[in-house]
Amino acid sequence: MERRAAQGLTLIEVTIVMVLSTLVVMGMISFYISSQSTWMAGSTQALAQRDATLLIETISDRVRQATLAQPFNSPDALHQGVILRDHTMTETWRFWWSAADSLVHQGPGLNDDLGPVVASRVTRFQVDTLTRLVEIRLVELRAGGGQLVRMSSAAALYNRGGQAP
Amino acid sequence: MEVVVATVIAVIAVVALAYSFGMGRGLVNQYEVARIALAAAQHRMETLATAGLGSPDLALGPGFTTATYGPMDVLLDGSVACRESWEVEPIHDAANTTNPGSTDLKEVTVTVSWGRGGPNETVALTRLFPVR
Repeated sequence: MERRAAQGLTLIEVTIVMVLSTLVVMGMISFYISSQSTWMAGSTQALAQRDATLLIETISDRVRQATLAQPFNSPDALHQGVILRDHTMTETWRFWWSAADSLVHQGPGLNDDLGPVVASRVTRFQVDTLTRLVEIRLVELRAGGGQLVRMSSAAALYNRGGQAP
Repeated sequence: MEVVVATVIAVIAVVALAYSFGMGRGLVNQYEVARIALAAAQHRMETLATAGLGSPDLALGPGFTTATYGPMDVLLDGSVACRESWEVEPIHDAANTTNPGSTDLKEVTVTVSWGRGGPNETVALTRLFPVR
């Protein structure tokens, strides 16, 4: 035993150990990288989902206070906006997709931009109106990891001058 | 012996970590569908609210019994995201002592389900509507 210890390791033994340890380290690094990307993708997707809900709820809250809604292309049918008016037909609020930053902005008017509703990029924003209903036909957000989050909903125009909705 | 023990512990740790990441991702995906379902339930409820009290979609069953509508598919950007149904149930207002047992309100419950429609795969919204 003492004689073998005194002989040290052969080149083949050292090589085998190095190859094995390299494989183990490479496996650990690839596992770390894939875990991190999974974590990031999940986190950004969850944030985009939260933003989609927040966007729909913000629009719904404003729509419920309005009397009339007018959708418009901003600038095309896949990227729209909606103008909300009160019973005197005065514009009270509007939401619109901005080509400058791919975000949905809000404000009392086009020249009075209060900034984006949520921070996530919006790839599609489509709105439609029925007599007493505003349909948010599609809100499509792109998460930081590239995944798309889609949602749709509707809100009623309850402020119709005392009329039942 | 020590090497074997260390290897087993390391493998268990790595597998557990990978499992926790997979679980987290699965929950994120599940809650995405849950959010879509809740938005769809709100959509249906608002549509019923604007349909008018005499709408056939809000009608009670024969003899003022509970009526069920659906299930029907909910489409999101052209593909089926979940299924919705709603129930219209007659309710007697306890404050109405003049006509005991009368139907004063309708309780509308919109249910949206996805997957296999289990308890964790269903959302429901309830709202009272006047009868007339």
